[in-house]
Amino acid sequence: MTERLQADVVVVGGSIAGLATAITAKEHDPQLNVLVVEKYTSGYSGKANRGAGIVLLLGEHSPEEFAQFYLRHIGLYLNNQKTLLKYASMLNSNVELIDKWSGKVDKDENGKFRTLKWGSKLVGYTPEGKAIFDESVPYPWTLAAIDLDYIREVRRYARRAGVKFVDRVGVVDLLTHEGAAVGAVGYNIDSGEQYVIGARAVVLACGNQCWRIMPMWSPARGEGIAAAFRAGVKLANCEYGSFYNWTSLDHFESHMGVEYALYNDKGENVGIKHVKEIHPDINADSIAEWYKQMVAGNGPMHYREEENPLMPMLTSVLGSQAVHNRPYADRFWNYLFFNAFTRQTNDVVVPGLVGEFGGLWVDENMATPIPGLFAAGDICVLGSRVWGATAQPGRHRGSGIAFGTFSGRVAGPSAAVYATEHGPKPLSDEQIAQIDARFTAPLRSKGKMKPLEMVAEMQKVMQPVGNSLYRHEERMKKALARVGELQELVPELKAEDPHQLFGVNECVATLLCAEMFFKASLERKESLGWFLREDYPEPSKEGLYWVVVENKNGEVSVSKERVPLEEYPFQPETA
Amino acid sequence: MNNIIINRELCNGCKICFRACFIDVIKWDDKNKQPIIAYPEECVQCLYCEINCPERALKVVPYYDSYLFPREHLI
Repeated sequence: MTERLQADVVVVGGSIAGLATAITAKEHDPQLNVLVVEKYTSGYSGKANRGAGIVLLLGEHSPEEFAQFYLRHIGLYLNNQKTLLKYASMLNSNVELIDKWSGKVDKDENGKFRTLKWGSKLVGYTPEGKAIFDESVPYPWTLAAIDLDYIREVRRYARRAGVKFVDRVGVVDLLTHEGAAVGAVGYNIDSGEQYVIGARAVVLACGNQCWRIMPMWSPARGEGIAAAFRAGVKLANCEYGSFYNWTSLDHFESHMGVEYALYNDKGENVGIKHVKEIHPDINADSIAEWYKQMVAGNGPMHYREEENPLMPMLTSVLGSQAVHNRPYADRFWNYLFFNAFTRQTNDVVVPGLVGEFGGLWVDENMATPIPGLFAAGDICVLGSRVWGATAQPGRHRGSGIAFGTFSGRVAGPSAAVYATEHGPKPLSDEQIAQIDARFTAPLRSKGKMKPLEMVAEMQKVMQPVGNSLYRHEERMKKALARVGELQELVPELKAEDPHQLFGVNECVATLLCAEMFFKASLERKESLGWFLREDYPEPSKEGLYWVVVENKNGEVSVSKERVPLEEYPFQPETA
Repeated sequence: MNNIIINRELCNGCKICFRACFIDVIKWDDKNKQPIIAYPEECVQCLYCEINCPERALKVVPYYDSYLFPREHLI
């Protein structure tokens, strides 16, 4: 049975990026029929309600000041500076809008957002028990805090604004007509019922690829990226999609600031040399140091938490009322911390692959190169090139919600304008049948392999630091070959229900993302920012370029595209 | 695997645990108005089902040793 729906703007994904898109599209033109399609349940789904709940804003700093600092110390000019400046100019109003939509941004008694700069030092307490911080840090931004149930409130706001919702339907492919996006095909994750959705404009806001390794990043399985690739999009900065966080094998919860107190088994602090005066967040060099120490036989590696200068700030913000008033977030963090840290038996740390691979190429208006197809949120963070030579969260924590909201606010009006100017197009029954045949094939498979067995094999390729962070041609070619072997095994994957059908589709997407990741990584023959090569330890002398991934007759094709610095206001000091 | 315990006497059938799960571990039994813990081996102990249950009828007991993580493939 097939359900057929028609919308002016269909938004795939109902977390903060999708909701910001839908609200702003609807408010741009209230006559438009705006539909959010969510694989799970909008308001609860996604990652933006299970993190720290901090959101970046500029405070008193200017967008130009932020951009210049960011280019110099983090992005290393591998940025689209037009999008970076647009992002910076909307950071303060992002927070005002989230508060308007949800009422959940923490404020003081005067109604002012309560903020705290990353890396601030705890210097005392007020008589009422509130923490006092020295905020003289060199970073031109600050952080507000949101209670983690805010997305449910944003969904309610969207409904009141007239946005429609379809939950429990995962989009698996896009529909095109003469090269333009004209709709999507999805399936109900409980019943397996097919949904064919025609639309004048489509916005992908369904998250990125996090390789299904670290727990809180588990829902990001790359299906939107794979669907977009099959439809013919272009991608960029895929080789930066390997963010690692410190974690303990006892519980897999993240640690922050480990590099300040990372010790080898001989008792030497080997992390501190990678912490420079400007150290806004974890850097790739400290993760690579872990790898080098382990290869040299100096492991296991230890974390002396009591020496981490970030801990007073972190423990004041997360699961505490010392700074913010966030009762729901406090409950969430306290449950999580209790479970995790009561199980911790030692101080051994390892880098856990988070990933955040989201390379959909978008311009300053969040438009992909496919007419009628737009993107917002994690799926296009890297491809927007707003953050340059770094992995998400871009060495500025609090940026996930910030980029999701920013990009949704841009994509919504862009899609609304496009939908107004373009009428509905016919949907191809042949395309719909092909998508159905592809997606449902595992139900008819004679194989015996379960999706989780494939997940375990993919993890073994992606998690090793020597493959995905401190890279070398030889290791990457082996990893890519293994990805190819696993792709050959896809027909062996068997599904017996809609949940498993989605499981297979997620595996197919993950393997495609892995192929893009290693091919793009092999193309970048240098070390730059978060991207490290053991065999090419220095930045290239050929200038700044983006590695671009494209679909050439169904194959993953990579090439280089020069960064057009002459079009941008800020130039590298050495150029 | 993680143990997700439901006190079925306390459960009021509100469906919030089902909605709260962000990776489809929990399905819903429409006939009996009760959650079904369909895929506990995939649970990532985010605890959203537990902290959102208005009746405190659900508890997640993580078993981290079984968590799917490539422990032998770190380097």
